[in-house]
Amino acid sequence: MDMSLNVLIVDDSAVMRAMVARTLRLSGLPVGEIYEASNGAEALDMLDKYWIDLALVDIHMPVMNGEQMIERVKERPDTADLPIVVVSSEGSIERVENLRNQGVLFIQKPFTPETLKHVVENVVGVKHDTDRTGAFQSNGADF
Amino acid sequence: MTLIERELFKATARTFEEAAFLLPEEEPGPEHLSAPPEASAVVEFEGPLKGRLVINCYGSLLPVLAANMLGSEECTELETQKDALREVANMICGNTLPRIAGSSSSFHIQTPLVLEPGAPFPTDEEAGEPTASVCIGLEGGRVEVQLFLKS
Repeated sequence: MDMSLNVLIVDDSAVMRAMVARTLRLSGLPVGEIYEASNGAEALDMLDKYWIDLALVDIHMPVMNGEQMIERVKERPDTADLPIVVVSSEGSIERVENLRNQGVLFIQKPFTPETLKHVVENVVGVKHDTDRTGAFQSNGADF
Repeated sequence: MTLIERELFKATARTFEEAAFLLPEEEPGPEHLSAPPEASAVVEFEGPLKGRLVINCYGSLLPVLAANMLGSEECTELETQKDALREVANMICGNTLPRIAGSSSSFHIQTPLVLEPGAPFPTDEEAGEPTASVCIGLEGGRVEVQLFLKS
């Protein structure tokens, strides 16, 4: 059974999308398809077209920013439970708390593959054991 | 080095190391210091502190920076190189400000403006001398990061 994660990276910077994708691959997480969107509206279209297990979302983007996108995702029954990690350069405690209240985790740029792995494991509710199986191990969380 | 410069240095070094796998040298060598001007970026911000952050690059840093961030062998496209510098400026600014204004502080950071390579480096006549300034040697050149705080 394929337990790899299909990930949607949402950022208006092509360089940053590539950097996040590179860090994901280095993290040891079992990554499947990586999809990219340059703003929230594009990301919502991608969610209609593809099966996505995790979204990594920037805040400041043209057309539709990250906070607006997350609001729309949470409103839709088919995407309301999508694990989301906000990836931003700004890391005020107030913003992190607001995101946490929406069920969204936060990671501040720049970050190491280890940090990304830790946050992703927390948000998807699984632990990845690279030594034994190479697949995600559920820790009992719903997803 | 002042406390603000220490935080500016830490944010700069960490950004280049973690985002681009470029190991910073706290004391740039002669090869770094003799490198010619390459490009610069300016970030304006408002909040508990108001001002601008300026990054001046010297040498041939941008192609290395962009290639490393992309995870590719090389990057010759100028727009991609500018995008990389823009993101680096954003990360340095976003990481420095809460460290000097307090972790609960919230800032509005504008999209960094990257000046065309060859354009004169920006000066801040209104603010005068930078509040803090650090210089770091990197593969391909060096960066000078200046923080101007307005009273």
